[in-house]
Amino acid sequence: MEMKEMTYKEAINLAMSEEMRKDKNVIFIGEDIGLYGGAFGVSVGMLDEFGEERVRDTPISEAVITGAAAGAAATGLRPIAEMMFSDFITIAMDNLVNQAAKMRYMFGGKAKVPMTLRLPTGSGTGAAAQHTQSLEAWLCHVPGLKVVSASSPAEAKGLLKAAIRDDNPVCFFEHKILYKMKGEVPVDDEYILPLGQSYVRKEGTDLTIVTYGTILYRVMEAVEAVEKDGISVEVIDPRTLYPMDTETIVESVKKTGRAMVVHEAAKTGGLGGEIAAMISESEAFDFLDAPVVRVAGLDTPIPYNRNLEEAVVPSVEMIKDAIYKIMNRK
Amino acid sequence: MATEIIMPKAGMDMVEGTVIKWLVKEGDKVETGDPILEILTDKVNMEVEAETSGTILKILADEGDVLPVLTVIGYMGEEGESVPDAAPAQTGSKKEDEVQDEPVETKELKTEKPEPETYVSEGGKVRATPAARFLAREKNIDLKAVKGSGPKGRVHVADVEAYKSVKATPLAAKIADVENIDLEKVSGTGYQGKITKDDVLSKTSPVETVGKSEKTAATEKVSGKKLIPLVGIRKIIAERMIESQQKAATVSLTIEADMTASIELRSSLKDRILKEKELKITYTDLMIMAVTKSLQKYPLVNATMTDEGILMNDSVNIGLAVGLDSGLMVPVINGTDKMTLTDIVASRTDVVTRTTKGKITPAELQGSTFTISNLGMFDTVSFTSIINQPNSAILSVGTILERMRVVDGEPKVRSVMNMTLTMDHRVMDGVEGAKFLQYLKDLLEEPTLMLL
Repeated sequence: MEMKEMTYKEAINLAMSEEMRKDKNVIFIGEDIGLYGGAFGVSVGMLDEFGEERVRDTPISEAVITGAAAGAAATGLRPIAEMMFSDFITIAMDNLVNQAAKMRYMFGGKAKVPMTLRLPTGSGTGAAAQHTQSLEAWLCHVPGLKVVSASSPAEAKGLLKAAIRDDNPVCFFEHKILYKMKGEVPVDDEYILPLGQSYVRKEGTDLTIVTYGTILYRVMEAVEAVEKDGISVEVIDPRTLYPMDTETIVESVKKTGRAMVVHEAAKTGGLGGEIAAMISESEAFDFLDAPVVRVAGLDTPIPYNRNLEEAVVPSVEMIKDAIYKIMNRK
Repeated sequence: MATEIIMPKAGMDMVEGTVIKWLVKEGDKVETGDPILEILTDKVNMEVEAETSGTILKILADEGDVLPVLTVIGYMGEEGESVPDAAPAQTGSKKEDEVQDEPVETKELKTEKPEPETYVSEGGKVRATPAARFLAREKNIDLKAVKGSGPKGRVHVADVEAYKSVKATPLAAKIADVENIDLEKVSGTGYQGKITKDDVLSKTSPVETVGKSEKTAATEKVSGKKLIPLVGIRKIIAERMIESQQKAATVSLTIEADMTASIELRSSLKDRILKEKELKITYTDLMIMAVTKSLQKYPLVNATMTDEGILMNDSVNIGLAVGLDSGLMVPVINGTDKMTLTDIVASRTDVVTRTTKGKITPAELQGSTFTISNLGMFDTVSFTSIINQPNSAILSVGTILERMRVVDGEPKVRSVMNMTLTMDHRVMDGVEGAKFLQYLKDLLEEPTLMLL
């Protein structure tokens, strides 16, 4: 497969552009995505290529963005909509939750809503409490929505293309810290990573860690460190948070006997609880050799102060500590 | 299904018990709560009651047998039900069946090999991970016997994997390793079948292993003399005495008290207490009263030596040495500092009576802060005692004798009594003990001071 090194945001741009070239029904709407190229510079050059008709700057109203996207999707287009910050989804919720997520069901399958909502998420940018949250669990709780999280440039491309081609509303989380991350990305315009498949990022025998987003890289660092002490960790990135491929996780836990979920989102009501419960309900239960552990963000708004911002989300040290503890090495 | 009758564990440190007497025989019908046998724990005789109603199907232990706690000593159930002819592995209580969910047949098959110590959390359930449980089921291992390495003793898979169904002391295991002996083939004579050094050594020589009683018999045969095995209460006394001697730095102080006034006091109260309470006041009661008052004045003598330091007790609990044919017992009268003399007479009568009848409970043999040993009734003039741990002193009381004593420059016949305080010099110095004795003497010589 021919590869090209590019950043995460270039991979997003490529995925959108390829799909727009391929299907004229794919359009792109959002705040400052046209002339300005997007708040994070993701859509630079897209206005020039596809014109104002297909790359549309919207008013500063997230309700309008999701409402327009849902309506356009229901009436035949395949809109990609961008929230400048995923935090703003709170004012776009009615159109997303009560309209987009429900239409296909309430019209007995006669309507479809093939929209993709891109959501820059997470902390680490010093953008304070209203611009740094991780709200993926909110959306996973709404039947009718699919929720995706991409952790690398190649995955961003492959998963976003799958999201755009999906006939259901897909909420696509992009961690802001990853935008500048570089990686090899397949140039093939049919490179698709199917939704609903977990990815075993690293194989191991002693512990299964389920994680996604930027925190994945902290997990990898911690896992490498504990390897020196003979602890072999399997790392699974679910990639699609809903509907999640639980089978891969359950099989892994049956093999390792221990499970941990690590995410940046606040612990209470976070996906970690859902995954932990799923594991203990599954046939992996009999294989559990330790309680399932969640390592997650503190139940607090993300502080503006950079040191505090760093302190409220799991660090490499915190993850290492949790690994030693679950392994009875402490 | 037949119910096991087991040697109960009647106290925290009870490891074995003696079957004294079966109160029922095979075929007898009993109701729940009926006493079925009498046992001797390390300190007391007690009756074992039937846990359910039914027929006594099998009696496995003979009277006089000394057995580890939880050993199956018989079976009861429906009449005509079949039961094993031998005691099975010491699996403990019935609860285990629920936890283990294991068919009875398997349990009965793995007989003969007594199982080792158990690690059960509060509520009687084993703390184990699902995976450890799964593996234990597969390997047919009793989780209760597996030592958990996780927090709060949680049993993990690694613990089940490491578990060897044979329990041996480290030395025994080492010898077995060096001598290339299969521990599975050695029968253990230690606590709950633990294999000891001797068990392994007996395998290294051509001589067959002999059990405890056989050993005794063999020794008697060789020497031609009767050998009393060191078990039960004798063993406990032996251990506790030597332990106390090794622990405490003892000093003994003796004082003579003129008991004339105390004798008068006792005879003046005797009839009254007998009439009102139908109880007999003794010199011991007066001693308890006077000792209690003295301990309140010199509380260090009433203190307890602990690992952390000297614990000042906030009440006075008097232990009374009671000599029985079977051995020494020290029942405790709690809170004598809050008692009137009549209360003391009543409490002393109660505990001593029950002690001599073997009906005292293990709890009543614990918690003393000071001990009195009185051998006056045997005409002993004076003696010393070994401190009853964890007390810091003990008072040895001799007989009351009529002796010539100089009173106001004149020789007079007086009733005198020797008392010896044996004290732990770690807790207090000789002066403290001497002051205590002096005050005690004052109280006995002038008992009205006790009213102060």
